[in-house]
Amino acid sequence: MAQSDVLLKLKGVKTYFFTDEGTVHAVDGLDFQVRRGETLGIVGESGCGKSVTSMSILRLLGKTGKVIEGEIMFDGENLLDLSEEEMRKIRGNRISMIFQQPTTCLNPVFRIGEQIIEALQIHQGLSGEEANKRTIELLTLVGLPDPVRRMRSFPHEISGGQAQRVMIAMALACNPELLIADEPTTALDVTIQAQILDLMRELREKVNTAIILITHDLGVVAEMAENVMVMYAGKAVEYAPVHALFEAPKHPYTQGLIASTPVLGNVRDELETIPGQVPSLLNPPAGCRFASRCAHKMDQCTQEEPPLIKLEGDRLVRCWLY
Amino acid sequence: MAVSTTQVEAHEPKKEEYERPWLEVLKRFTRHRFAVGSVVVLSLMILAVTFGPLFMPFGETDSAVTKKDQPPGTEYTLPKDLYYNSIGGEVRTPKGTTLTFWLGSDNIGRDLLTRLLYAGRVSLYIAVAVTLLSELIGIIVGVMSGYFGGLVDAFAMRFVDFLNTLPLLPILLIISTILEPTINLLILILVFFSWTGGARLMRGQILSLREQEYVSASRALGASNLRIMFRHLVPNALAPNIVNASLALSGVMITEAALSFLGFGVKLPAASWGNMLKGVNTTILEKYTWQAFFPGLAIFICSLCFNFIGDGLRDALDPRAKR
Amino acid sequence: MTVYLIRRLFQAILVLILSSAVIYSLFALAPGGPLEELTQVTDPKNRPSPEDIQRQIKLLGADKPWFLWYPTWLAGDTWMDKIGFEEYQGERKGILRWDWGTSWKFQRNKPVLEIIGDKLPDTLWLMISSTIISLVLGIPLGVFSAVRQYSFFDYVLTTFSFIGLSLPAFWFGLLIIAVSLWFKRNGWFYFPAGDILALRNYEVPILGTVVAGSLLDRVMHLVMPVTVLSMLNLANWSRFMRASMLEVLSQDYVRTARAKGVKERVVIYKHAFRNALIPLITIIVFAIPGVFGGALFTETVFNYKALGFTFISALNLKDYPLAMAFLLISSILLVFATLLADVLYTIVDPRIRLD
Repeated sequence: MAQSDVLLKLKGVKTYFFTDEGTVHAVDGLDFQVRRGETLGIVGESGCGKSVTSMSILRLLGKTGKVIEGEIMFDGENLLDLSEEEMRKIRGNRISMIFQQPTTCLNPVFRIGEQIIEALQIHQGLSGEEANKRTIELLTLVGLPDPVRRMRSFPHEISGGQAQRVMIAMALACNPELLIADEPTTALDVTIQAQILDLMRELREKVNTAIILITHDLGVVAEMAENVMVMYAGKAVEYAPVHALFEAPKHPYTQGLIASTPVLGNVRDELETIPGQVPSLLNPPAGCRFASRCAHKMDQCTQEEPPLIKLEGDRLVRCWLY
Repeated sequence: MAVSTTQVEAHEPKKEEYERPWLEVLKRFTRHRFAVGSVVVLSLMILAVTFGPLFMPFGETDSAVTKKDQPPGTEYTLPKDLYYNSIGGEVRTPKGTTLTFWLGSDNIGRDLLTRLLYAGRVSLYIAVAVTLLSELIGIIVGVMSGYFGGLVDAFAMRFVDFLNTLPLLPILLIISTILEPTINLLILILVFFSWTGGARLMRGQILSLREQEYVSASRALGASNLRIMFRHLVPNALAPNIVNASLALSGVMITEAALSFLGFGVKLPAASWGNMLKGVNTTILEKYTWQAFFPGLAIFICSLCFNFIGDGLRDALDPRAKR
Repeated sequence: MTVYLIRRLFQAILVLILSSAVIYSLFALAPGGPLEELTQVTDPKNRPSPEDIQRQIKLLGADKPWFLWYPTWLAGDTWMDKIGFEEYQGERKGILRWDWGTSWKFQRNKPVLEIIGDKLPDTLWLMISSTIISLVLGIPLGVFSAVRQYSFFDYVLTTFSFIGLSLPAFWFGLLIIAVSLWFKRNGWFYFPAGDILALRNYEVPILGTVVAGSLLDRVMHLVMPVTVLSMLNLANWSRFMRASMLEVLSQDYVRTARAKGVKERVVIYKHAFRNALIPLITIIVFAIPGVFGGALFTETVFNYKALGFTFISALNLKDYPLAMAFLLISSILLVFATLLADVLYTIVDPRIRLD
């Protein structure tokens, strides 16, 4: 496929956090790419580096975190080479993000309208009547009832689901090319979750944005994503189109994940669990990081780290079994 | 924040950490250099005021009439035998011995260092007694209030609110004027106005612990209210109160010093660091600065130590709260 | 909103009645009666006259049956006939109608409210200037320190605030007086210590002659006490602001603002700062009762003869009516400040529900 089709490409990205306890290897050599209009799901347990990956892309790691290696190519530019000012112009404009806890993500002392208008003002120079109009448009787009009145509400006056709609409206304000959704439905009630997912799917058709969907919920991925990357302890362990992944998971960790997810209408006596714990990212073990919990462990696994092995049908897997 | 989640979730606690939480607390405490230094300094001061007077040739009120307002280091040859009543009996320093006023002498010729040591006993005693008593009362009221809720809670907390709407310093001064308290009465007065902070803290902790499973479990097992409160709840809720107590020590010490400085706290002839500063005027400040300098320095050092130790304890007991 | 305010006002009045009762009891039930003990004093100058004692007894209502004491003190006795106590009918108006008694010693026979009114402006000079200085310096220092957490500057400020918190204010005052005296003796520039205004013109190097009673004279006398008061507040407030700002900076909405592409400066000074200021309301509002309480030591140390100094003198002279008035006003201000803080919170913080 054509080069210009690739919107975002990560190559060997390593993000470390330098803490009092030592260096945390949160993301440890990550490669993947997202094409324009594609939805990529990133799946894994908490603490596997999913969120750090997204914060690395936006370069919002805080004081202790740093991308120490690799490149993050966005539309042909390495984001890591940009100045802070150039990066700022990309945030919320060409790449925007929505988060897990919508109610705490809105500033409590500003009205909802003001917070959306701010994004429009920064990146598109809109103000006054124009910005108001566009905000109402956006709020209508995300299905918020009575947008004119809602604009004047404070964040605490709306529900979690509505807050997430507002966050989505804010993220879409400048028609971003890439939307990173970090656990967008985790904090919401089940019925609201479905509504938000429907909304995101609908919007994807309308605005043709590429989406990186970060979640620990395989159900969400199955519904939304085209391709899935499974992460474990700071590394990608498997990459596959969504149907292929669910039909035939290759990596033992993915198999475990899928087996431990309840499927509606498919009654099993017992859900499987993956024994053991995620290894410490302070001193990651040599060899395969999943080895200590893996049912198919071989000698080689604890000695040498498996590379990403290419399988048929655009699939990659990091395991010595293949 | 991404950092902490990664850390907390990926950090596999070692076995010893489960078994010996106090060791872990101690380890974190020792990482706070100022706090460790403060423990050393404070221990030395406590040792000095406790045992120091035993080694001083002068008694608390012995004055060398001819040696008023002498600067630090002045030597003094005893015109007659000096007797000092120590625990071991009477100690005699023969006439003609040359003694030194290491920190100078005061306006009636008493050795400043000796006065300072005796005053330290009083000041530290008041600070520690007030803090311990108010924490004790605070903890008991807080536990009752949080555990029983309802009327007990409403009554106790309204009372706390009310105490907090009284202007503290003016009211302390007035009570002190009217009652002219002894040291122990002064302690009780200070306790009366300072237990509320501890009570609020404890109540907050209990409220969040009360609904936890092990409490229901103990209740189901038939444990009495008292047992649940003081064996299960208090030990788990104590950390903030410990931090609070060590910070309160500094506050009490300064309040007592201030009251005594104004002449409303510890009354002469007993010395406290605060009342040693009473009557300091421009003449003293200009000519005999040491008389004003050392007592204040002692208060300052102690209260700085208390604050640093409190800060260290906060870091050690509650790793989530960063400074 | 109105319902909430009315309820809070009602509560405040209730608290005031309670605390005034406590204050009243302090004086009325003190061992040996209010001025009684002083009749034993040998020096006639320090002995209250029988009229003084009578007046104090009448002020406290102690000439009546016990259940009329407090009401008399509060509301006077001009209405006693209305409730069937014609024999206790009198001319006192009670503190509610500004009858607060007269000083018997500090400024003999002068109504205490007049004395307080006389002294208030000088205390206000002191408190307002130190409050402004502390706010203007403390807020930015705290914010700056939080934004650069763990930097050298942060380290210095944190250490400084620890020192400030541990420093006994009165001793700090004594020290800077000593330094100023030393400067004066060496013929260097110095600030005068003691009093509010000088009695005679004086010479200061660099400035030349300072005219007694001029604005310059006042400022010269304010510098040291204001430094002491500000030092204390600064340590507290910058620390408070730093903590508040750190708390806010770790909030999700700050991350949202950054992710939106807001400039870092705007993130800090608009998104974070607005939120971090909210808890500061308490501190600022409680500076008002501080006018009465906080200046006690500083005024004594610097011989700055304003309200705090007057209060201490009143206590030393056992001029109870004056001391009582002072206590009563501090307590009213404290209750008022609590009320004001609550009201301000509801205005500034949209999250607070008004039901």
